[in-house]
Amino acid sequence: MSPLRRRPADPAVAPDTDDRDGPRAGDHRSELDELLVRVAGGDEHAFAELYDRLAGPVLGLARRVLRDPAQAEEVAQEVLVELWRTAGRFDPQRGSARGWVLTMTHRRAVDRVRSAQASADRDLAVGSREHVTDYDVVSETVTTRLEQEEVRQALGELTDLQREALTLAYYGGYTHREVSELLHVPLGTVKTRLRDGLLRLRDALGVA
Amino acid sequence: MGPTEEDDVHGLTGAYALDALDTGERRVFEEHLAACPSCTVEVEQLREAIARLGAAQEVTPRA
Repeated sequence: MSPLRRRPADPAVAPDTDDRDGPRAGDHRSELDELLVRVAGGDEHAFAELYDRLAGPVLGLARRVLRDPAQAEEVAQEVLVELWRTAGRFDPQRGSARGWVLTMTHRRAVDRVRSAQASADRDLAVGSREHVTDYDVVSETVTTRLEQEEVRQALGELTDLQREALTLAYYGGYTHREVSELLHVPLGTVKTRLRDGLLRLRDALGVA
Repeated sequence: MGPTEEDDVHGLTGAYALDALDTGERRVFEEHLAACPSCTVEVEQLREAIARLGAAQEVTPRA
């Protein structure tokens, strides 16, 4: 856990602060962050290396949400193109390169799932079971396994409802309204649980 | 817009960061974000936590 981690109670440091040495989230600029900054400057070698390092997580997340390897590949390609085009918007003071790219990935995967759904009704009951129980993913590297273990432990600190709501929303790509139907819980409760669950997860993982 | 509705908007950081809002709600919340530094910071932090969930899904792409 970073000793510089900002406490939630801190008055929000203005997000557009110029104080680059201040105790902001993402102070420990990773190599990935440096690479992305170089990509923004048009550095193709940096792009190639960033691609190598992020293709695994991007593809894995897309696959998890889309449950279709071919579509996941397409999303991964789109993300990498978008990454090259929009790298200039990345601000390392506001978050990590990996977070930025995975946010992009998730948004695209979810948008795709939902537009596919617009034509065909999704079987919510089946989807629910699948996503809540399907925890295990093939991990190929020690780092990934450690990361998975950390995430699993952090998820274990949530209440059942927080965890289920969060898992359905993030891995299942369901809207909060769908999550509320799936779990037979009022929408207001789902909103609250999603936020509370994430705040707890943030603290458990020592992010920010 | 009453105070209750305002509270509601701030409470959407989690759903927004998870892409769990529908298109219309997303747009409304993004307008709110542009004017609300505390929600902006919270969304940034939640996204970092969420990214950990995403990264844990890593697979090895075929060469």
